[in-house]
Amino acid sequence: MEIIDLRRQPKGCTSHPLIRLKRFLENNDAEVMVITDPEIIPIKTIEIIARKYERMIETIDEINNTVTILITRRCQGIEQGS
Amino acid sequence: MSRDLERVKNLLKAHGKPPREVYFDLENSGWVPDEVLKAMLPYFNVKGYGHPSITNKPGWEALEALLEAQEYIASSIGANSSEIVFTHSGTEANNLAIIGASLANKTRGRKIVVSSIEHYSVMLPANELAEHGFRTIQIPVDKDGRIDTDVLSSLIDKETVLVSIQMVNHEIGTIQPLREAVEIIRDKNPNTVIHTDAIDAYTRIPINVEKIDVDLLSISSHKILGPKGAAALFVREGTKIKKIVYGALSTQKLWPGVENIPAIVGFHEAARIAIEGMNKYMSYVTTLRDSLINGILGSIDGAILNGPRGRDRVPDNVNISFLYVEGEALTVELSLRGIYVSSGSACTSRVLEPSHVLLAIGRKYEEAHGSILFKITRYHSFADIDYVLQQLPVAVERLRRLSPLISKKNTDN
Amino acid sequence: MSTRIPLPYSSKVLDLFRNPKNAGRMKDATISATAGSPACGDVITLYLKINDEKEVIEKASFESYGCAANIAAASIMTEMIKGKTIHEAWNISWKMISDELGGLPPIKYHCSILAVGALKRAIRAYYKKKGTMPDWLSEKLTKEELQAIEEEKLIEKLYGRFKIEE
Repeated sequence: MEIIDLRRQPKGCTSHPLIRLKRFLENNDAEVMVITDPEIIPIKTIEIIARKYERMIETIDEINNTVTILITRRCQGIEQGS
Repeated sequence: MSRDLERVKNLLKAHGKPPREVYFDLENSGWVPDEVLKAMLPYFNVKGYGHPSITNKPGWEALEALLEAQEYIASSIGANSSEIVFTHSGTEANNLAIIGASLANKTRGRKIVVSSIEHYSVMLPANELAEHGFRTIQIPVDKDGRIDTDVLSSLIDKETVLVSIQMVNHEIGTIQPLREAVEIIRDKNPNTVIHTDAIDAYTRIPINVEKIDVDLLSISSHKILGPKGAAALFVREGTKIKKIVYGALSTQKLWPGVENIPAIVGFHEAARIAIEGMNKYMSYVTTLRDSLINGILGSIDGAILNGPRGRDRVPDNVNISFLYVEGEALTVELSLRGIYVSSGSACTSRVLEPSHVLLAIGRKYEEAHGSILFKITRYHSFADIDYVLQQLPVAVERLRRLSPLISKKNTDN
Repeated sequence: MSTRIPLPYSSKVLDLFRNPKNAGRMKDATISATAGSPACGDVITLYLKINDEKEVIEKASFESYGCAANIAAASIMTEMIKGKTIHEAWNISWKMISDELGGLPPIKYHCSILAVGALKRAIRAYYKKKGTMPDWLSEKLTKEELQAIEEEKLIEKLYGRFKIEE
């Protein structure tokens, strides 16, 4: 499974992790795991982005300032029970 | 003679002067019209060639020219004279805004939010601030380059010290929903400093800092048919900002180093001409733009417009990707035909990254590599557009005939 | 735009760009090979007509997707290998190609490296097809071949898509 770490601060201008996430969601229907520091990129932000690509999120793990979130496969408008 | 110098001399000799020349690369720089040049010339050796801070006549003349420029430029964006800081380039203005404001306000937070399609002179200083403990987050954009305001809203919190969102994108011409963005930011954190890079917006769309509550705004001379060597940063009164270049203070408290008076005079004149005629010039330029876009898309297969159509696109920008050809080769081919443009392809060795703007709007790498950027001015004519429409298909076709991607495509079908 | 690095091409590059020698697909090629990836902005396809008996390259042509230096490098290489034995062609280095072009700017060295990568790939493919292996040809991949593969793999990793098949 693809894992994207949003805590990474890239040196260059492209491939900022949030942009990589967006590209992944645009081009793939598969799930993806995302790691974030909620003080920098809040869980809400990830939820908003995920929803734009018809997916839900589920918080898998929360330790200190590290939250691991699973972004589900494309839901295609069907309500999924949690 | 250095190797590079020798090479470029031979290159120019080999290139020669094409029978017809038309320059569209205003994104990177451009010529100075005669009217502007005329205004500048006296300041080289007739009057005002002194230092604006020195107590002698040529110094006071220099100061007069500077203050006149400051006043006009301020009024052209709804600001006060004292809120205009002159630098020598847009890059300097952006660096001053990003670094100066972040460092001055660092007790307010360590988060910097920028759009994912900002100019390098905004992105790179923001990234550099990581060394001072700042974190930069990029807001994704949609396929037209518009920032996602929901994502923006979710990123603004008490830790957000600075947000920088350009007014118009320099590569694909997207006009950002800046007013909406500013309202969102002010609502969530009234202390966040807001900067906008208006370098590609100035003189194309109206700018009024009384109506749009930004704290910092950058503009530049050589992007508006003025000379290189002058730019400005609007700093709203009350904004905490630190200078980042050190030297004897002159007229500009935030940017020492002797002011380039002739360039500032040129900046003033270029701005005056463009702003006074903005409506009629932009309406004309829009027609040229659309006729170029439609002409290209209608006559060349595998051509994709980058950026939005119509009113969401700044009047002077045309950016098109040509499949199966590489952008740099196309710029050289067009240069040989007297058409001067630039490309979003990756010119660096070993890869990879072509224009980050094109990648951010969802272009595949191979689409981004084949992009060409034209900027149109009030000096261009329909005849110029026709010339491009005549030459471009031939240029693209020649390179496509060399390309293995075309023959693969043909054998696949 | 992307980083702007000044590129003072030599006039030789410009001349070849304007009038590339041996450009285009070869219908009766003995063997062909491609190196690079469209995602990198650099692809060279090389076509060779080989005299099997004498092991001489009778004809060579190329197709190119890339900058002016890429087109020039591929073109000059086809000129350099025409009439040579395969062994001689194998020994052509990227530096020799760069020198023939009047010296490429360092950031464009990868164009001549890619050209050599395509050539070596074609030569290996030829012997594989023939079923023989000359004693001067080692199994170990050369620097140029490795670099071509690295570029192709890197883009795949980052992007996971388009790859030209032979």
